[in-house]
Order: sequence, then C-alpha cells, then structure tokens
Amino acid sequence: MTHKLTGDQLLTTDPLARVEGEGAMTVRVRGGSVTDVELRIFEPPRFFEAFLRGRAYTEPPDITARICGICPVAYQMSSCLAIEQVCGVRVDGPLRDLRRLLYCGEWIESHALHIYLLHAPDFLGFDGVVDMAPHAPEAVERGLRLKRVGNEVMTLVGGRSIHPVNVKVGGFYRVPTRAELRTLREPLLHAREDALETVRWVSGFDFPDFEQHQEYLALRSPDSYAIEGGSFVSSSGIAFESADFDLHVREEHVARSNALHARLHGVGSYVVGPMARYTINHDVLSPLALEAAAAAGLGATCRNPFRSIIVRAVELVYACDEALRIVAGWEPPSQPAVEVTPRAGVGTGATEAPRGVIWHRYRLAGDGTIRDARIVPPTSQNQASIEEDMRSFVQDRLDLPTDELTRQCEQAIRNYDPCISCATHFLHLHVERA
Amino acid sequence: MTGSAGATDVALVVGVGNPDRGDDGVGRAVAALVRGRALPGVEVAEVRADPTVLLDLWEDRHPVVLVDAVCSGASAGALVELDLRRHRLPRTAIASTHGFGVAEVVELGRALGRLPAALVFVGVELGDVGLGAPISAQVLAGMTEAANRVAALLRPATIRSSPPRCSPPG
Repeated sequence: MTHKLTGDQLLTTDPLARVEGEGAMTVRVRGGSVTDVELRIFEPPRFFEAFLRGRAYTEPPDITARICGICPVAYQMSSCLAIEQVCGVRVDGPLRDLRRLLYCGEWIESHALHIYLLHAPDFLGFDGVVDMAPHAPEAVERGLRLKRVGNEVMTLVGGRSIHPVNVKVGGFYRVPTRAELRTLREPLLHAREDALETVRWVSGFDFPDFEQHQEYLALRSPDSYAIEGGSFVSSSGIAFESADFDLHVREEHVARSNALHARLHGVGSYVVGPMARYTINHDVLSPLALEAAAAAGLGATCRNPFRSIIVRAVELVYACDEALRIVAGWEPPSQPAVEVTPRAGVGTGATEAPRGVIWHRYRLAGDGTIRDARIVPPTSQNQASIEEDMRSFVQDRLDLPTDELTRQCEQAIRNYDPCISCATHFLHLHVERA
Repeated sequence: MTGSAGATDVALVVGVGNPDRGDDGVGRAVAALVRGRALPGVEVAEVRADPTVLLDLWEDRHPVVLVDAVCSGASAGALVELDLRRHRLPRTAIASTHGFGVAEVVELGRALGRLPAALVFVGVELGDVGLGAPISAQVLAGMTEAANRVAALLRPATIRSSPPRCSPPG
C-alpha cells in the first residue's frame, strides 16, 4: 500500500541497503513542507583515535587500515603523510608513484563496486545487482572484471587486496620488480576499455532533475588529479594546506549521530568526493578521461549528485590511465622505504579516498609514541550535505507515493557512496508525516 | 541451469569468516582442518572479506563446499547443510561489505550462470562473536564433525545424491 505525503507525515528508511554501516534517515513533513531531516548514525563509535594513543609512530598504517575494508589504502596513505610530516621526511619519486599506483587500485575496486553492484540498480529500477544481473549480464560481468583488476593491483603492490600489509611509514616493506609490475599491463589495458564502456553505459541512464548548491572541497595538485596528496581548494576559491585543516573545518557533535558533523568556516556544509574532485580538478585529467567526460556530457562542473555515477566512471578511466603510466615507467628504487626517525611534533596528512578527502593529524612524543590522533573521514564531512540534499529533494517530490519517494531518497543517499563504518560508522530511512 | 563451463575434477573448499570475531572465524577454521588432511584433488581457500572473489575462486572447480558461520537460533556448534544449486541462502545486509554478503554472491552467480555444478553450504551455528574472542568451546567441539562432513561431501556421489538436511532458514 502506498500513501502520498500530503499531511503531517514521517518518511523512514529501514536499514538502508547497499551502504556500509548502520544508520537511518528520518524526514518529517508538516502541512506540506519538509520541516526536519535527520541522518541518524547509531552505529557505535569505534574509538580508533583512542586506540592510537600510546602506540608507536610506525603503527598507524596497519591500525587505521582496519577502519574500512573498502578504502584501507586511504587511511594508510593519510597516516603515513602525517607522520612523515612530523618527522621531516618527504616521500617522492618512485615510492610516491608506487603509493599512487596502490591508490589507483583502490579507486578502481571501490568505484567498480559502487557503480555496478550498488548504484546502477537504482537507475535501472532493480532492487539490487542480483535482480539486475539477468537483465544486464554483460554489464555486471564488466563491473566484476574491473573490480578484479583493482584487487590485482592492490594485491601485487599492497600484499593483499583487503587491508594491505606492505605499506609502512616512509614507503613499503618491499617494492615490486619491473617484471612483476609489467604483469599488470594487460589487465589494466582491458580494464581501461571496460572503464570507457562504463562511462558510455552510465551516461545513458535517466537522471532526476536536481542540483545541489553546497561548497565543494577537494585536494588539488599542480600537475595531476590529486589522489595521494595535495592542497585543499574549494569551489569558491578557499585554499589552505593540510596543516590548516582544523582552522577551516570545525567538527561538531549532533545528538542524532555518532559521527561528528563537519562545517567549513564561513561556509557551512560542504561536499567532498568525486563531484568535488571533478569540479576542482577536471583540467588535469588525462586526455582520455577528459574525452570520455566530454562525450558523456560533463562540462567543467557537475552539480547534479545523481550524475556522480558518471563522474565515478570517468575517474575509473583516469585511475586505469594513471596505473598504466606508472607501470610503464616503473624503475624500482634502491631502497623500499625512506628511513623515518621519530621526533616530537604535530603532523597532518590528507589524501583522496574514493568517496572523498580524508584527513589525519598526529602528535608524537620524542620517542615516536603517539600522544594524540584525529581522523576525519569523508562520510562524516558529507553528513550535513546529505541532509540538505534530502530536504530540497523531498520538498519537490511530496506528491510521490511514499514507497516511491523512499526508493528515490535511498538512491539520493547512495549518490554519496556513504561509508558509515568509516564515519563511525549507517541506514534506516523514515519520512514522518505527523 | 548449467555449471561453470570446463569444470575440472578439482574440488574446492572455501572457508568464509572473520577470525577476529570469535565464532565468525569457524568457517575458515574448518577449512584449515580440511587442508590439514591433504585430501587429493582438493583445494582449500579462505575468504575473510569481499565474498565477490568466490565467483572467480570456484570457476572450473567441482564440487565446491562453502563453510561459514550461521545464526539461526540453534545450539552453538550445530551443523546446517544446504545444496545451493537447489536452495537459497537467506539474504541479509548485516556486517557485510557495503551490504554484499555470501548469500548475495551465490545469487549473483546463479543469475549469471556462474555457479559450480555442485555447490553445498555447510554452516556452523555460532555463539560468541566478541571482538578478538577465540572460537568458543561449543563451536570448537563441533568443528571436527563439520570437517568430516565437508570431506564426505567432496565425494561427488555424495553431493549428487545428498538431499538437503534442513530447510533454508528464514
């Protein structure tokens, strides 16, 4: 049975499927207006920052990787950058290239998972990929192939695809030989073709007419699409370094969520992730990725969050391109890591996880003991924007039957590829018409 | 529906679970017991997360036995067995990677025509899944029987003639 949201009503989503973690969404409608939107994250806090206190400066890459099975590399890389900053070490050259290659593997795996297994079924009217598979078997197989190649990259460079074990502060425990990396060339060439086909496929979907107006925040590097480092730049031109993140971003507790909400000073809510990255960095995409974006109808910016699936597909092309570039030019360094000697101080590191920028800050004692740690993952930064999106999205669709509205709300939330397990960690949806 | 094209006579046992969550690690522990028996023509694999790898792992393998912890309300350590060519696992979105668990992968394989010709699920009822907890005594006590049952299932005739020993829960 369906109902329309005409009076005072409540729309809810029960545990939201196809997102990571435990949470719920409640939308209250009174007198034909949306009065309240609450993204409630009730998955308990996981206390990783507290675990890190008292541990050695060498441990965060392995400890923080356990926060997420989808984006462990993001946690490893941001923690390494932060600790290396404290210790006055900069990792560059082939070791930085290898970090970028590992990160490309994570982007390929994560984006393929979200596009094909989690998000595409929304656009094609299926409850999930299992229901979609008999109707689009070639597409599902393509997604699985892409995911497999991402896993191959992570396994070869990181030691294994989930929670890689080959990353250390200063670099890696072991670097691959040229011959070993060369084995990735053929799979990546096929993956790049699959990624291009992905852009063509998703750009043919029907997209709801909807625009978001929040500030976009992403990392930017001078000569490449920022992944494993960079400086913060926003869509209105606010720019700052990682070390100044907490001068510009304020985290606040809201009673409905075990994940802190983040607000950009002088702006308010903001969006991190593929939409922000594309808007701020599209000019430094590879020619092939730019060409694919243009053919898919993406301009210099993208403000419809439903079209984030196209942006992810373009980033898939780019990640394959970048991985191929690094594989082709790989010359192993003489040492797998730079020596990192501990010293007292504070350091920060920021990198671009598949679903948005992730920031770490550590304070070390002179012997390298961690005195204090802060981790700001992407989903917690996007919480307030998800609520704002839902407020205007639902307001314009109050004439829809409740079950259809609920379905579209879930799709809108999945635009963000939220990872509640990272944010603390998500999702039931309630639309309340009291 | 047919099984994977080009299936060999190499059998596969896959233990699924997280050994850092107490009894959730029992699938992998049972797989390790089977590995220790060094059965000829039998490969053993363990999957901790991302069960989509099952679609590749079981390609060209026959028969295939999946071992995992289950939560049905039975006594801890109790065994449940399902012929997945004929029955479905209940689909849940709890504690899996972006809501994609073993049951979803089995159904995805069925939809894509990528199930092995013989695929049996052996479930061990879990008790304690505390963080960092060891496998509980009750579940430990049921592990040898589970390994024995897996070994018996690896004889193709057993799988082909074996009716399911219970109905799919839920």
